Amino acid sequence: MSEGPERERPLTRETLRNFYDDYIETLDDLRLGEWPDFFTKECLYRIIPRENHERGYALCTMQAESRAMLQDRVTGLSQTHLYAPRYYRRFLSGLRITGDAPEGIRVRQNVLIVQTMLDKQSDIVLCGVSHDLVVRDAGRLRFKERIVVFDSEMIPTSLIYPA
Amino acid sequence: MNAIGRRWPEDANGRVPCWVYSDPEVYREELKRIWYGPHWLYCGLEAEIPEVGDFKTTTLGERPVVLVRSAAEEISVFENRCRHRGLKFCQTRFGQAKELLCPHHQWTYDLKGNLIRVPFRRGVRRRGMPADFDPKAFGLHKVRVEVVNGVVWASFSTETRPFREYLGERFWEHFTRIYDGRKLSVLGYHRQHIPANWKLVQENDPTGANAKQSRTDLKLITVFPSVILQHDLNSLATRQIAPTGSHGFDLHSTHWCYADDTPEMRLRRTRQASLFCPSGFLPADNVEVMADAQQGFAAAPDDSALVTMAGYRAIENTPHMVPGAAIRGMYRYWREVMDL
Repeated sequence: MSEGPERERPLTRETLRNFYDDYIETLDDLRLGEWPDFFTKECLYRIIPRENHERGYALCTMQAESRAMLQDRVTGLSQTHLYAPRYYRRFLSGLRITGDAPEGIRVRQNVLIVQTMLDKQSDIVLCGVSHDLVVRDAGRLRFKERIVVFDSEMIPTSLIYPA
Repeated sequence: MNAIGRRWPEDANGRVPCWVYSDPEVYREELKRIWYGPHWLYCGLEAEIPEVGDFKTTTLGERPVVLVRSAAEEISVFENRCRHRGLKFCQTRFGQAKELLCPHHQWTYDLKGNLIRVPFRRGVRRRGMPADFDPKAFGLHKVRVEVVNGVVWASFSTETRPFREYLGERFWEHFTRIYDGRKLSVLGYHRQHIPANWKLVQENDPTGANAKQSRTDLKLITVFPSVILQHDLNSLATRQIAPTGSHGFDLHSTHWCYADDTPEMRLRRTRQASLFCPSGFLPADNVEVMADAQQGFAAAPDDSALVTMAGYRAIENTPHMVPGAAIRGMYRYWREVMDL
């Protein structure tokens, strides 16, 4: 990752985009072991249906409040979870910086995840918008918050992998 | 054998024929005899429509309905179909209204479903509705309702026994231990479409046998045919089934807590709900297994599945839910209702 020393570089769209591209490549290539490292130690990660988010309900489809909980999910996915094999591929667009403060950069972006089951046509497993807080942490960018609010409330069977 | 032309295999209690999960005629009969017959169907929680005029839309079997709090202590359920041209007039999930309006020609109903306004009833230049048109005969189709400890049940049949009798004393005790009359509060919703026959969710949920951990703290009450009431650790939910043909169903889960729960308990229940949600480690297993099962069944309607575990062929109450007994019991009832 081409970061440069923390203290001097202003965060450009290019740098942010590289960060997001690294993130989705890691997940698309199923390098799940590397996924939790994109987050700060204490963090908030949520995938939540739009209706719950808009009504102020905290019930999420996926939630983690720390890197350790993300690690638990990876363990579950790799070792105990039973599910038919599939591919997910993620497409991000519409990156907008909605806030830039000492606490971090607030970013909003569209998220589309296409799922392909074996011998089936590809379909949309998630369509939504993410509201993220990206911070500099120990020499790299990380999510302190990533909240994915999805319109696609009627999930086709399950949501297996993260967004 | 009824008009469907299917016959249950000889080994009555030990096998479930695969056509049960895939035959479209069987499915049509199920709608008629089960969903629209003398059974109670889950509509929602009173907590979802707390104020007069609050409404919620849902589906009972395949019929869209509207639940309305029509008075302080009264819940009404109507078919979501205008009596004029048959439009599904209410297209939002939740809302608040003083009247129910169909946007097509603005036919207007009060909260009790009475038709109270027909614009242009006398027409333009007098060519309106016929003189014998009686609005009283064109109220929304009401569905029978029973509200029990905060849970709203509806039935399309006048023959359905009162809810407590319907459940039976044993399940009534389980039901009222959780739905004990305390006010409830909604935590949120999960919705999934599962490409499997609706009966599979009732077969698979009680087992726990396909989970890699053994669960002793999981309680599930299936109120056949429409809902599974879940009590898992501290996570409480209703899992409502809406069938969409023999090969699929929508699953609507409402997670809730008690209105007087502390914020810490509310948070704990919300966290634990993650075990039982579309990404949760338990139902993700179950719903994935159901989808896999349907792929197997659909191709071989004349084959059958073995349900002889845990008591071989006996049907009796068991303290645990390793499969067999519950499934056999369900199909014994099913065969009676379906005349198969």
